[in-house]
Amino acid sequence: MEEKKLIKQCKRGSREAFNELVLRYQDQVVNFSYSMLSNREDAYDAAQEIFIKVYKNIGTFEEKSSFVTWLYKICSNVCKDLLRKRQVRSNVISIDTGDYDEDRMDIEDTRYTPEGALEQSEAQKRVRMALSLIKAEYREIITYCDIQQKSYEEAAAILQCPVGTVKSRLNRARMALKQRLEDQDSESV
Amino acid sequence: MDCENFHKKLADYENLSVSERAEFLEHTETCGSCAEEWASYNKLLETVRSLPELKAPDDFISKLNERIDKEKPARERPPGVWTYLKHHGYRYSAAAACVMLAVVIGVNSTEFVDKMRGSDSEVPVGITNLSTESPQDAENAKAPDKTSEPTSTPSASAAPSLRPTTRPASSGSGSVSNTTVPRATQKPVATAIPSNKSNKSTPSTPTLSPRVTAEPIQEEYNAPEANNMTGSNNQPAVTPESHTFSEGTEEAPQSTEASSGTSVPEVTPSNNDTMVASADTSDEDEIAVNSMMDPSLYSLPEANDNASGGGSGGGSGYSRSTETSNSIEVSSANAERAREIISEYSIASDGDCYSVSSDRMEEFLEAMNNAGIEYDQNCVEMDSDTVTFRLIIS
Repeated sequence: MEEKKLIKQCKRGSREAFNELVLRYQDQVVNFSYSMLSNREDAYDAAQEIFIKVYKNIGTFEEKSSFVTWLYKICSNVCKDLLRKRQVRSNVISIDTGDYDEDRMDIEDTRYTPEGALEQSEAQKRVRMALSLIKAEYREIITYCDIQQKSYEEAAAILQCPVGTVKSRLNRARMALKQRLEDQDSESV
Repeated sequence: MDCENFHKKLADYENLSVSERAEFLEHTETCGSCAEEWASYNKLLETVRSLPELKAPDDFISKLNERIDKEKPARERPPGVWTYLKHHGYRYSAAAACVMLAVVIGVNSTEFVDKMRGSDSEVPVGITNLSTESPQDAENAKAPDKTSEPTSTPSASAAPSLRPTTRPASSGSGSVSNTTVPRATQKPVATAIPSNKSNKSTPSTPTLSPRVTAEPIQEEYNAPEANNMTGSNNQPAVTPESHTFSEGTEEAPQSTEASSGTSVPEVTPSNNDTMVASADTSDEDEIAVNSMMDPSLYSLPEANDNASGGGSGGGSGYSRSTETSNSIEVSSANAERAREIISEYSIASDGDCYSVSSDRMEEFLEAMNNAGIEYDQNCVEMDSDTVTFRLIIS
């Protein structure tokens, strides 16, 4: 069924239409959440939260933007909220580098390390680890553009910023991720 | 390109122009460290892009629905409409407020118009008669309280056609519109013709035609005596059989003219006596009734016998045998002036018939002489308080 029709039916309270939408976007939402949270269980929970919010607020969706854009805005907000809650519960060690969280940073906690994650290679594990340690906004832009391979325009629509901002932010994010990997390599050595 | 610029453009390689990319790659061929860095960067991007996607578990939707069901029940009605109104209701409330305001204004304006129309119908009838009536009459018309209510019974009319005309303010009788009708006789008034019991005479002149009117026309009288007669339907003891000497149709213009500047006095109580006297006689009643029905049957006792030649001078001893027999004739040149003088002394009038108090009759005639009006009077002095005569214009 056409997405617009599904959305209309969701607005009317059709659970079936809602489930259909969930089925179409659940993987993307879970993957985004996993990239942001670096933990499978947290990713599942976040995805549930995201779709619950979608169900509750579908009536406010004015369809001025695409449903995907609206969905990812919710994803971003939910994941960032969970990250803030995680920071409150964890001991944070600030690192005096510009690429890391300015105030606090998640410590490497076994709970949140990508151990047992899907990464099959060391390289993937290292990248996942480094990704979890950079700023959330860098993580987000990398997830949009590199992991989920969205266009600059799509990312700009989600982030509600110009395309140039997306490019510059992505450059910084990549460099930050690169730097973080080099630091891990130097520490491991 | 140097190494510093190389590092700046490293992350932005995808956005470089063709020439910039060429320059960038050329530097990697000449600089080993930059080349390693370029290789490392490309590998990083490749790894990031190859990260496996975490997919949703098979029971993701079921668990999701369970959580939704556990939470507050879903909206009983589609959220679209109410949520939309909640967020955008202000748009419609403003429009609704404007519509309601327009409706209220429209309703009030309609009521206002209706009230205005309704107030127009309440314009006093007498106002419309001001143009054809004397100011005094206009006052009479505006003061209906002082006059009697018009009734449908002839008995309500008093004596000889000398009634103050009343124009009820809210009368819907339509009498307002007819301003051309003689003032005193817009509606013929049944008035009693004072006559002696013994008077049974045929009318000498066809000037007085008894008429029965449904509504008496009352007018204020100059004479104080007339006050007793005002303000009531009960014209002084007027009987249905009483006659009026209202003017015939041929006299109507004259009567209008004559009465324009005068107030019509009402019948004095003395007339009542006469009328009562006349009513007491069954024969006269019969005559009166017949006269009312047929002017030709009207008879005026002693109308001719008592007619006196009357000189031109201020003859004394005017008596009135019958109203119809008394007359004062003036020339047409003096008619207007004569009417003016008559209006000053008359206490009642009906067309060209006037009643003057007997006490003032001499004064009246003297005034006529003083005014240089030559007249021929034919008045018979009667044992009554008033002398009624007809003004004849020769």
